[in-house]
Amino acid sequence: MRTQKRIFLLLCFFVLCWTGSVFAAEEQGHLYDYADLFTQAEEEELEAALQQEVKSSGMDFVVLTIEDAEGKSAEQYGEDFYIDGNFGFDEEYSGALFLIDMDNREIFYTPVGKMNYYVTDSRRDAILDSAFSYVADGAYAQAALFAVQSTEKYVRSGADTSVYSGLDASYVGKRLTGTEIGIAVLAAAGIAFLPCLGIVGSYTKKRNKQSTAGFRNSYRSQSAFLLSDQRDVYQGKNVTTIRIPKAPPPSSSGHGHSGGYSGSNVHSSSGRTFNGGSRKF
Amino acid sequence: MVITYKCPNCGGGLQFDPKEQKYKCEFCFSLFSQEELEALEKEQEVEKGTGKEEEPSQSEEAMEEQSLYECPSCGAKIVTDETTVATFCYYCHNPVVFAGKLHGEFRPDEVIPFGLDRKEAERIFLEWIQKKRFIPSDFFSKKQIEKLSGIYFPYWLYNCEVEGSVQALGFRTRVWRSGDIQYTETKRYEVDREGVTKIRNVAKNALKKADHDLVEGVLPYQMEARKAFSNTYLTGFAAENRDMDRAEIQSEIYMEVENFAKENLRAEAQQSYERIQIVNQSVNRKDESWKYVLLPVWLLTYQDKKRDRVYYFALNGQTGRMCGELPVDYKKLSLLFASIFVPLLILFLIGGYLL
Repeated sequence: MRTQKRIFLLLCFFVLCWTGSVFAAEEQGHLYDYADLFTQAEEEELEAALQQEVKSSGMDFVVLTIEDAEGKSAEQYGEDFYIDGNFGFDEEYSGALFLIDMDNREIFYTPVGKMNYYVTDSRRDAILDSAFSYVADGAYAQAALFAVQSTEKYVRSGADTSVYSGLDASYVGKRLTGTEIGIAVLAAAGIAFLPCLGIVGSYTKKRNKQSTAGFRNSYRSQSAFLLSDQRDVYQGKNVTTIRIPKAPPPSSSGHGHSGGYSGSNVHSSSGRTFNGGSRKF
Repeated sequence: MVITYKCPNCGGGLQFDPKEQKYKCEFCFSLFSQEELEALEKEQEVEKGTGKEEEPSQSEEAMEEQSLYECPSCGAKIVTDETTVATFCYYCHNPVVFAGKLHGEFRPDEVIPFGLDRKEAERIFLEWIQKKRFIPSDFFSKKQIEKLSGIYFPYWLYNCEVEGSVQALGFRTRVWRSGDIQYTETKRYEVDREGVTKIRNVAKNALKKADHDLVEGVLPYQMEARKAFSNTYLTGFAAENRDMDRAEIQSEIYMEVENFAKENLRAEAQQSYERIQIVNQSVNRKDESWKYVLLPVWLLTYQDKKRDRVYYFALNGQTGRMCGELPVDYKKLSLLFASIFVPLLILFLIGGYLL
């Protein structure tokens, strides 16, 4: 009986571990080093960064290195990989993918789905430029790490409202600006100041006010007013008119993103919205 | 004429006891009511000391301010200000009343006797000061409270009726919409109001050397407790005569009551209109009466040696209302400030971050 119990407990333990790991995997991001570019230590570092990024942004991230592009371009391969792997946690498959393609000697980065709000053209290009300089030096792990961490940074600082206006508040950055901090300080100081003022006032100057108040109340509370005569005579009236123009119809400004980007690569494929860019090295 | 009222049983000095509202002998604790004391006054001989105004060998200025009297109990010379009418003999501590100064126009019409005795006053003061948490902890020492003294301060009491009338234009507006036109109708009325403001018991300080803010800060008194004046009420307390005549304060009082009357009239006219425009106002005082009264105040002069400042506290001798200035311990105050500021700041920052 005891051994049976033990086996049962062990089984439970493993099941839990396994289910735990499944959930964990979802929130860890994905690292596929098929080209074997990273050392063990670098892989661990990247996984930690991936975990951090996915947790912080709530969106998926794939880091991929390949030796053989199977005849596709880096962009093609990356997009197909993302679609086939069914990455992304929400209905828009939001996330990002960073690919080092040793076959085409190209690095490729694309935001997917909602990530497009945060990583727009200019931000994507910034990531690619810096990653490129790492890769040119052969620092592949550094490049990938940079891509992951930059993405996280952009998400934290909020959607790029210069491109996407009219997004609701949940997309806007969670960082505190300097002015917000200033306002918080002033408001807290102002409120804290009030009781102090009150106390100083009651200890010192109130004497004057109190004496006038005491003096006034003293006789007013005992005095009385009696109305003896009243007369109201209607003299006339006048009417003025103002024309109020009808309120203009509510403007049909659309929700979501207004346009204004050219030379960009936003396109949909299999229900995912990509906006990838690449650099040849 | 300097008077000390003596106990018929033991000869000790009689003092008015606020708690009992009777006269108590310091030594044998016998109690006498007002009527009994007045009867005694008439029957027995009250010991009268000579009220010689000796000229002290001091400068002329000092002479004007001080007078010298002889204590009827021990014969010591008592030095007081010109205005003092009751005090204690410095040497034998018997209460003395300068009845001579309280004659004629300087005889008060009415007095409100002390309702709170020294113990009660001390208790109220201590309670008040202990509630104040932001005074320096070394400010207050209980010993100083011994210096609490009960003083009758002189006030002018003024009553009158102010007849007044006001003429104004009153406006009532009505706004409505029809289609895309907004109509505003303004009706205009001629408004007249007449009324009488009964002014009762305006009390104004009548002693120049008194701290005006303090003695008016302890107002109001329950004026129903006024009694016809008798020297006897002053025993056991200090008292001051007035040195400000009616003429000096009447313009201030007139303005005060006239403004009050005008305010009442205006408020009455304003009542049924959204907006009024005063065209004419007039007020007229009549049925004036002036009374000279003494009102009880417990006064504490507090010497703060550390800060080298004198603090004054006044306590209404009838109602216990307190008035006075206190030093602020800024260290304790900044602690309070920080204890509110820091958590609020953290709260705001978190809120701002999350929103």
